[in-house]
Amino acid sequence: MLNDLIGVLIVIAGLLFVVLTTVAYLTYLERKVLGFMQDRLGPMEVGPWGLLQPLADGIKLISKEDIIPSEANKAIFRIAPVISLVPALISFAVIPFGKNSFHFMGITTHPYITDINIGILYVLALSSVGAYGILLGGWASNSKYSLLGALRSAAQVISYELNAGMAIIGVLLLAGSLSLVKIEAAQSGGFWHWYIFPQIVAFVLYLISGIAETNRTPFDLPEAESELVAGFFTEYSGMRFSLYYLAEYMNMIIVSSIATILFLGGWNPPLPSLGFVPPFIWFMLKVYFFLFFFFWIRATLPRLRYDQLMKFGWKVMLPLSFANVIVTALVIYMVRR
Amino acid sequence: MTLKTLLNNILFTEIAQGLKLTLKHMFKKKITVQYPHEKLTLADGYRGFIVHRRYENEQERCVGCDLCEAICPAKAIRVVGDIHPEFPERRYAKEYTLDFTRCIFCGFCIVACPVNALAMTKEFAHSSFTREGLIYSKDQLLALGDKCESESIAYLKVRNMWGAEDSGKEEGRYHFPPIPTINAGG
Ligand code: SF4
Ligand code: SF4
Repeated sequence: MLNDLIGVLIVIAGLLFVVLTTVAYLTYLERKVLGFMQDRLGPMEVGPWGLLQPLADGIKLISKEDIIPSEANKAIFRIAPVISLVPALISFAVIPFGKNSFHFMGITTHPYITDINIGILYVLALSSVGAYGILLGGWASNSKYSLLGALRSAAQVISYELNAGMAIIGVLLLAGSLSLVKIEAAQSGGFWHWYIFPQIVAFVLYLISGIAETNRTPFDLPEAESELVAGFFTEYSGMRFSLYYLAEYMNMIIVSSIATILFLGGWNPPLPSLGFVPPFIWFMLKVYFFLFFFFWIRATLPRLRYDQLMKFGWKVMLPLSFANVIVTALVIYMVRR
Repeated sequence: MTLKTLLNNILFTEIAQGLKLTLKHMFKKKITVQYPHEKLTLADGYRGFIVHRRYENEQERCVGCDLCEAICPAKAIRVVGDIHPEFPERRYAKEYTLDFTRCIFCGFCIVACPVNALAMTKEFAHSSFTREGLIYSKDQLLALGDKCESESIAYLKVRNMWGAEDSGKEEGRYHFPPIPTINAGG
């Protein structure tokens, strides 16, 4: 019992460390990728090739003045960034990032914190809770821009979460389980077993919804800087601002992880003969591919107009995802009978 | 919607083209100049900070004629001309201030100056924490001019204001009034 607890605590500490450093360096990576795609160099001054930039940014954000608008609803204003961050952080509990469990002096560590049988549902639920942080923060700031950003965010998250959920159902039908560990295991043995091939429509739908859910370009309407200053976190500064930032990048990692697990086989190597590379490395590679794709899309596409966004979500994505579910269900029924 | 546009929409052809373009640029040579570490070479006619110049015998050129103050469109210059206390036949600027917070670096003052006492240099990185720090006195301008002697000559040459200097004439636009041949300040 105690040994189990220690094992879990070790994994939690390790995961926290990896996630937080990844988030810190994602900001660096994003600036570098964006810069390179625009023929610039990105951050170069702090450390060699600007590698210490996230550290400098962190120090700057912590030491900034914490301003609360006098008209704001103080309690909600303070708690909103936390509501946004915590669900993003605890979503990592069900992400299986490796294959093997380690046994050491009677302590067993698993490559996940917990394997609950409703894993994917848990992640979806938490991402909806995270949207409350954005909504409440926008509302409590008592500013036009924040409120508009929050409203847009609410509408956007509701429309695109639906699509993401529907897109995932196809995979769940194929795998026959909601547990992320089981879904990964079901795709083992070469890339032709990955669900990206039978579920290519769902994959594209999920990726688009994922970008929309994390409020990234081209769906960054809640924080559209050219119209809404900074959207829902216009009034935030210092540490609270950085909490929102952390939450956004963590959500990006979660969306990438889920896409990796559901469609690219998680830690499974693309060919069985490549099994000598640790599964963890495969998982990271795929996640980083998706993260790079996020940046790549940001460097390429302009922002959508609001009505386009809604139209696309409800009139194109939703029917497609429904059709995908129905077709998948029918085919599976035929084949299995 | 024709079949072709439908196909293009389904396959995201346009987005793919855009993605290809950005990816291509990622591996292109970057055009950033890492400024404090590497600098661009500036042209000789570069309109940088204005300086005061001296004759070869160390005497300052400015005769306090007020022409630069008169022409300055930004009213950045203030000249108080006076009779030189030691050489009564000569005028000089008793006070001269150039306010670089107002100056628009148009170069008119240099054209107006009858004795080539002013010139521009390639200096530009002179920042200050106070506004007063950017209001330069005559001494500061002269010091900067001593530092950037060659740059100021290059500027005047490129801007076609050096011709009479080489003609050797002791009167006219560039030597006014004839200078006493002493080494002391002016
Ligand atoms: S450069 Fe133009 S603005 Fe500046 S001091 Fe000379 S005349 Fe005035
Ligand atoms: S125009 Fe030249 S000589 Fe006349 S006051 Fe200005 S700097 Fe001095």
